[in-house]
Amino acid sequence: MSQILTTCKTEKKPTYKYNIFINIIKEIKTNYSFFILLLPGFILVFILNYLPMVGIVLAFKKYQLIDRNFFINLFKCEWVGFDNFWLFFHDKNFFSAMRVTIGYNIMFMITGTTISLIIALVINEISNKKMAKFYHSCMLLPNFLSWVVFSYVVFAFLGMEHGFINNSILVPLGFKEISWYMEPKYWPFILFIVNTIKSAGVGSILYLSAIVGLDPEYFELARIYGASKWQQIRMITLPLISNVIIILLILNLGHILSADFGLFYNIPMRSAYIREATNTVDIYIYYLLQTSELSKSAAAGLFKSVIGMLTVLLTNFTVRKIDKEKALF
Amino acid sequence: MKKLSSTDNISRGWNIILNIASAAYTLICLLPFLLVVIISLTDEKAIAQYGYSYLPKNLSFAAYEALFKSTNSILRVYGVSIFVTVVGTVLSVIIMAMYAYPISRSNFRYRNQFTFIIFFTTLFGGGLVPWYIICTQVLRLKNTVWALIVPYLFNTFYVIVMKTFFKSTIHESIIESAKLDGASEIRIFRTIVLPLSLPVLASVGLFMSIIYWNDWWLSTILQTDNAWVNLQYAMYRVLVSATYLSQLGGIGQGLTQSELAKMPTETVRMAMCVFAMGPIVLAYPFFQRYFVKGLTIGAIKG
Repeated sequence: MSQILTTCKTEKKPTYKYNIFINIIKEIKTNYSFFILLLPGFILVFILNYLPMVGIVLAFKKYQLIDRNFFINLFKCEWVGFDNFWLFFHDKNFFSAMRVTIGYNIMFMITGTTISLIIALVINEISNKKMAKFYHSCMLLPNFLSWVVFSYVVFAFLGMEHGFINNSILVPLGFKEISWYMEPKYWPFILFIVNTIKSAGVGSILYLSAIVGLDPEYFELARIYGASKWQQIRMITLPLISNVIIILLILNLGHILSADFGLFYNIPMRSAYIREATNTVDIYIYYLLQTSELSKSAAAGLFKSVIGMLTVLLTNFTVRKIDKEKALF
Repeated sequence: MKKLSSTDNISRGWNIILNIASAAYTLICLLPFLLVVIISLTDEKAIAQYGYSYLPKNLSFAAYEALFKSTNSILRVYGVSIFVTVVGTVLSVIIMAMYAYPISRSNFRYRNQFTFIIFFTTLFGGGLVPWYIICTQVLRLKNTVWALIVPYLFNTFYVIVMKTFFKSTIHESIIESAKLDGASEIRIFRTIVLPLSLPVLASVGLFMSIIYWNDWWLSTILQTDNAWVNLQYAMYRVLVSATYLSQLGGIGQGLTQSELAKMPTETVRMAMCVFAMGPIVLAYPFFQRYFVKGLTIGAIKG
């Protein structure tokens, strides 16, 4: 038997590569229209996503201005190995940015999940379904407004001269005015509120659909046995949707190094005084690009990409172990 | 049956409490935006005296008057935003639907390979700097209007959403019978698949238009002069320095120097913010259904 198998293999091998070519040509001939449809999207993805991957060589080079053409510069400048990586590894701003990003992500994960879950449970329990739907749509609205609009709103509340909180709350109550944009200690709390208003409503949609999808028979049986509403939520609803919760949490962990650029860049209005509390890894990379430290920025970007990919793969692998259906891939 | 389990069980008192709690959270979500609207209608002098307030002493439409007087630049800024949103949305929906259709067809041999090509981009990317270099050195996007459109044209997530929709709602048998009648694949796509997929096209289109309308990031990174300033980017600049308004090719074009000095900058910028929120808030009640649908289709994996 094994002999037959090996002969089969050796017989097939030489023609295998050749077959791929034949197959592609055959497919293009028979289904050329599919390729025509794919073409515009493919070109876009190739240029905007795959060509930049070649650009990561920049992370291993010392970029210098020699010629006006960027690519001649890139070609001519010298290889420096991992020097660019050591540069930002020794930068205390980078570690501050790492700490800020991971810290906020963990905070948002815990609070966001809790608040979204509470919204879903409450909306599901309200007797008047029309009102419930109205509340829920209103909670979703902020998600569709831009971060720039949010930065205006936050400024209207916290602004130094005319801000609502200083002028209409703190001063009339006899407190001192607070320079919000200069005090880092308030920012975790401010960013938490802004982020909650923008995204908690949307986060609740998944939980709500999971709750609505539960089999009503469970609840009927529980009622027959005299379970109160609270007991039903604790003993039936939460355990049944715990899978969804855990999986969403793990999938979020995969993006632990990415933070919403708009939130951290626009809401603090780039105030230099509160950078220690608001600069994330993405913003660190962006500022390096703005100050033309291309190689260092590219190295930091590559570091983030690689770590990001590893964490996504790892978390997806974990989710697959729990529930194959829920894994991304 | 479902009705029984979810409604009959909650006591009147609890229902009232939950209603109040939901209403309170709804207000927390909406009231902050109301403050911006009120500020834009407040008299500039009242702001100087009492600061921003929900209950202004004097109302005034000076900000809107100033905006409408300086029509040249504000119309241009608004026009850029509208142009980018319309062109970007139409192009992106067409391109993404064109990509999603072949990879949804089971008789296309390389559907998995082409799905992987776009899926991989969500896993790994070159990072900001290489992307910036491609945009500026290869595509020459810097300071053109295409800088605000091209980078967002293809979105893997929505392509997968469309693919899932095509696969689940358009029956293979319809396509087969059209093929027997001699229709080409492109014709099938145009005359059968697209009309049948209007719901998903509408949802994705809405989300793309929101993305384009709300974008400030592409301008921040790819626009260095004031030629193609869109509304969000103008707002972003104005918030930091109110004088940016006059830099914008003279928002007070046709106004004298003294009139320019009198322009109520505090309220004008809040009026701009109202203009930016306006279209979304006004359209939201009508399209809300599609928004929610779009968000839930997104939950289904491809």
